[in-house]
Amino acid sequence: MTEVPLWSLAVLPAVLGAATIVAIAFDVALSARAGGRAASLTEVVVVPLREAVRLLVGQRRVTTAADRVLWRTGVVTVPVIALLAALVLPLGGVAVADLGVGVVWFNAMEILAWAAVWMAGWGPNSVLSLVGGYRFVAQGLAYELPHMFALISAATAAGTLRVGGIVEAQSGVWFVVWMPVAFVVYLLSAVAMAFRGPFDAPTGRDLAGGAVEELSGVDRLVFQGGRWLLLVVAVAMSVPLFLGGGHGPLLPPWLWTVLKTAAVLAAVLWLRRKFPTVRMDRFAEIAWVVLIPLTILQALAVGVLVLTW
Amino acid sequence: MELTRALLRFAAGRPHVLLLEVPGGTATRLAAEVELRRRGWPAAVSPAEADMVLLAGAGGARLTPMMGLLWRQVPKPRVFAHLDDAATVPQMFDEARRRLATGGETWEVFAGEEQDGDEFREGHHGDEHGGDSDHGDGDHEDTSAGGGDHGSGHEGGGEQSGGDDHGGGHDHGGGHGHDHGGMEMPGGLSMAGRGPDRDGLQLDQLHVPLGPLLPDWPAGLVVYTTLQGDVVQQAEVDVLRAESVHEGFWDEPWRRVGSGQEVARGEGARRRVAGYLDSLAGFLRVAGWPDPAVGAARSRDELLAGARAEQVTPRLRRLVRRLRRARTLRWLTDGLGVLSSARAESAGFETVLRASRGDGDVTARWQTWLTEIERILPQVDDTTALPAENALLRGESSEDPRSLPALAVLPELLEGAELAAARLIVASLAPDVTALGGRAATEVVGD
Amino acid sequence: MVSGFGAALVLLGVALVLVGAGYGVARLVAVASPAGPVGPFLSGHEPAEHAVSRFHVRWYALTLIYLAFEMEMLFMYPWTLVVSSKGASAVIEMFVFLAILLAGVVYAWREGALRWS
Repeated sequence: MTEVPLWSLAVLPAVLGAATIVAIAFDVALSARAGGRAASLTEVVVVPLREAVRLLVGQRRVTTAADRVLWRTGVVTVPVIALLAALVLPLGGVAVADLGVGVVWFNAMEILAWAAVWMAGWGPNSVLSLVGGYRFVAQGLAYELPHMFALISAATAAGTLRVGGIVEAQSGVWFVVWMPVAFVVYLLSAVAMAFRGPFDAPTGRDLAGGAVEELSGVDRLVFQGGRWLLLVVAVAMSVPLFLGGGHGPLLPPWLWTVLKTAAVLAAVLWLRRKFPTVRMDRFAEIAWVVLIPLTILQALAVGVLVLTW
Repeated sequence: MELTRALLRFAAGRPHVLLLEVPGGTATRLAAEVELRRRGWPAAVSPAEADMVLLAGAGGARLTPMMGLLWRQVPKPRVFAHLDDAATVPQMFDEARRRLATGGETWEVFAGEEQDGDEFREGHHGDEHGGDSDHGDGDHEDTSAGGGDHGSGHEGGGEQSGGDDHGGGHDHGGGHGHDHGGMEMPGGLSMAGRGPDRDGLQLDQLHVPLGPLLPDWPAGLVVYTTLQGDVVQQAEVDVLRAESVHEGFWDEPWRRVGSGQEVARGEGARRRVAGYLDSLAGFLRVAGWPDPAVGAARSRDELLAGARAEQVTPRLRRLVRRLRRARTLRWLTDGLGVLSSARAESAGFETVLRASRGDGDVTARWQTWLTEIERILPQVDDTTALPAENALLRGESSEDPRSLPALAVLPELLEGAELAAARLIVASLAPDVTALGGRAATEVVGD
Repeated sequence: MVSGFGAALVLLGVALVLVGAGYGVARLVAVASPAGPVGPFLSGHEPAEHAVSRFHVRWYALTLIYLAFEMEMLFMYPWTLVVSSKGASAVIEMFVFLAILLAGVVYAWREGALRWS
């Protein structure tokens, strides 16, 4: 197990924070374009900062007979688990900690989002928020299993649960080549996990914001920021799992990681705009009847390939 | 604090605006949407998100306490504006931004009748607490534990909906729960009661009103729902009417013909296409598809601003083609809110009726909008005069046209629908309550 | 130098400090102390009762099938490590097990447990 210096613990949040700001700025630019407005680079980069400042100076609020402990716990949990999941995320060849059970750790952290969003939805004692929280649990039931089979496909192919090991196993052929289904399903579920569009029903406009409906001030900043962070981390994880991590010609590994992450993130944010919000009462059936069997077949194919090689 | 002031100035560059439309406010809302898009300011979805609340349309005694209640839920810094005049929207946004930058809390009527503002203030004094809470300085904290007793305000509103047992019947919710018993309950609210669901199970019920102060919701519509989980078990429709008679925005050209003016045929076509685009944009926002929603809104605003057909047509055709090919959207709205052709006929409304050939669902209704847009669009530049018989036909539309039946069928369509589906069904019917004119709400609801 | 779960623990500390710092800054610069309690947003209406209630979870049946799969997942993570050493028998056993679970999904699907609206 490679050991890294303590300072990397400070670098990780900074790098992820910067990546999150860039991702939000890109999304703002896409929005501006859809509205027929050319937005300058400074304008879009300023938006996430402005938004953060707006929420920092904004007043917090408490609703009538709210369950404050659950509510605030849920809110704070979102960014914390996003950061903790990033523990095993390698930048180039280096992760903060390349745990022997890295994939399981990542999975365990991100699944805490279920609890976080449900608590944030339940806490304020508000119907629309409550419905939003429950929507996320239903969403979890649909995306989580395909997600885990996708993770397991990558782990099986490498014969290890260590993320660094999975990257090493891709020094020749990237996993995306022989497990395209797992890759696509992984990205789909990464977006669903961060409940971003088109899987944003838990915070949908039809619920006046759902789980975030009653949040204001710094609470809203922490929750919404954490949600973006979760998306960035989950999408970035697809690079070591399926896209060969830092492997690539000429450029240094860290740069390859950054480039690949940026490309996948941009693709995800761009594709989101092609679809309306997907409701789980329709999607759950697809997830169970199509995605789960597909990912199981994918895992089977990988298992057979591992044996024959 | 100096730092706070600097941060406020920075943050005020992009305020979130909660845009609420009530009857008579269509023109103002459209102007505000144009302005928001031009500035790149986001439209808030809930009071907690908003920095600025913009109420478009006429106030009224029934609306006053509701608005007061909502205002108390908006976190500071905040600005409220009640607008009755579309022309003042840009300068009002500038003013609001300036006030937000100084952290000022403003509850103000920027334009329109001054007495409206007084009504709002009265509504506040009617409350047991927080009477002064919205006037800016001083003690603004709503310190009372029961954020919820505004009974007097409600009763004040009740007389406006006089003779309408729906409005009255629903006030039992907040006020009474506080007055009789339940004092030991936190927040002065009782726990949810139980009732049988469609399978006969005893389940908790919540009473959740939707509208009137809800973004992306038809102006003036109120649906009182009884929810079990997120399923609507029961729905009652009510309408918030303006005190003064407000004329509909979408049938204005025909009204002008009715009053003897000469109006070009193209102007009527323009208004109708814009109306369908407005319904489409609202529907797409509820469906969680912002990009085409913005596209529809842009074309709508260009048409209303007088753009010629050839300027609008290419983008509009692209939008229509994109939506026709939108398999995901179809899959999500198929089978929702099915209205049989027989029921549509007895209810008797034109656009929806056309969609209901062969039992129209939500999909059929938004697709009919697309067809209508394509059909009417070429007539937009027609300069021949609108014939008078058209005016007659549409003239009575201030009393009726499609909106009444839409309200009549709403309860039966909503019952058993999930909350998300319910929002889509309402958006797909897009009832124009403004067109009701002076009719009493009870007449509308009557089965 | 830290390693493994020690780093995880430190990172948890870092995360909490960062979030705490956010709350601290907000406390300093916010224009007003927290508002409330305010009523929940109900389109301008008063709440009739507490929103927290026994929620009608219509996807209840789905949670049960999910649970069966979730237990299976516990075995599948360690399984990935031994596939190559155990050989074909590991693959066959695991996927026969999964096929049995899938049969359950098919049954639930036919019973309509995957649709709830």
